[in-house]
Amino acid sequence: MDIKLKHVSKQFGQKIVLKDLNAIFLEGRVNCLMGASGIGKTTAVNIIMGLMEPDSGEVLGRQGKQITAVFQEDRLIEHWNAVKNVKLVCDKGVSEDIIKQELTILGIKDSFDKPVINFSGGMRRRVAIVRAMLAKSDLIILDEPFRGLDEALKMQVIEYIKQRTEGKTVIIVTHDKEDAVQLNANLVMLG
Amino acid sequence: MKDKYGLKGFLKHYGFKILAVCFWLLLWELLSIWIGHEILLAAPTAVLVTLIGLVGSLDFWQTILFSSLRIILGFLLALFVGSILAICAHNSRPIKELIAPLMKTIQAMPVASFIILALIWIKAKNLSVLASFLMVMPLIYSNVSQGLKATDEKLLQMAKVFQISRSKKIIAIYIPSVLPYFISAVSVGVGLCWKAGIAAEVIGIPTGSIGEKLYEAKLYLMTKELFAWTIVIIIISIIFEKAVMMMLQLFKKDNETQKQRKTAEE
Repeated sequence: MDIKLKHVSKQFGQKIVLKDLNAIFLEGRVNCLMGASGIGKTTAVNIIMGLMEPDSGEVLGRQGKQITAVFQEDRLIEHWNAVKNVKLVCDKGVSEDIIKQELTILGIKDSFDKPVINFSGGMRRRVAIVRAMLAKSDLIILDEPFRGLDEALKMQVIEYIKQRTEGKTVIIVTHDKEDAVQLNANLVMLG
Repeated sequence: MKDKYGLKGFLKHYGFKILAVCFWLLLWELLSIWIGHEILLAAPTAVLVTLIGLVGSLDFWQTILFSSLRIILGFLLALFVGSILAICAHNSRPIKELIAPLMKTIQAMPVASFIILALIWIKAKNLSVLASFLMVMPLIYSNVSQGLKATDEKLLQMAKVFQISRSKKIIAIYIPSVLPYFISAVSVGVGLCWKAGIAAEVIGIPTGSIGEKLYEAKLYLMTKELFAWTIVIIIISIIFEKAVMMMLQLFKKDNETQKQRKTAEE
């Protein structure tokens, strides 16, 4: 079932962030949510994730879906290492070896025992991406997942996401149209 | 590294501390000589002799056991009740509002007032349990509440999205947030419980307690005994504080290990 935002509005104090937003995110596809800075992309995905309630309007197709996400601020347990952070959200079937393998694919190797607080921004981002990919999910929401990654790493991460999300509903917030092209994504424009 | 354990290393590390203690002992000795009345100020050497005499008797150890058990019981009850109340208050606004005036009253009330009040309601021998409990509980409540309040909202949102189980959420998010506040409250409370507990015993004079010994020493002007028992209280309080802090540090380490094991198992 597609995820549909119907007439969704949201304001914070006097500031109207979303006004009568209608959008469809296709099931089983990568959907790129695009738009200028401050237009309400993060607010829209927060509403889809159920972290915010819209002032009016509704979200359809979300009920009963297991969601995983990459947040703008990574939201990792700072004093835990990368493997533990990923393990926290995974099913019993996902072993440490699998997690290490996945982290290695994204270039996090030899740092398995270090707390993520000591990681660079790009490394933390990749840990958050692996976490979102390995957790059981029907809907994956990635809020600016390529931020802080250089071009080569970004291409590597795009390839990784494409492989791991095949057939799943994915919503990616991005500024860059080129990302959408690389991901062969359905474009959803805000504003 | 080796030097640290040698004589030179030892003197370097503890030299000034030993000198400081010697200075105050000497000053105490000189003062007692100058005053010349043992009733007004007993000399440290005389106090030491009295203390050695006390240590040799069975009654001394029974007295320590009597007071320690009750004060520690009050302290442990305070840890448990304070934490539970803080968790309840964190999860329910009405409970928080209901508890607030009670905590404020307990915190503002002089120890002597509630000890005298409590004497009407409970047996004197249990007074120190109550005094120790009432002194520490609000402290634990307030610090655990602060720790819970300081829990990272963004991590809780992450846990909500990923549908992380309650037990994992407690281990990964709540405990690391609350633990520093809890340790800080415990380190303050551990000293306070002894002060309040002994004060309660001095007022209630339960038979076989340290408070009773202090009261008798004061009543019969046995200044040497008064000093000796005070030293005993200080030593027990320090030992208790060190033991509690050591256990908390172990728990801190164990908590880390458990987190690792838990995530590995699940």
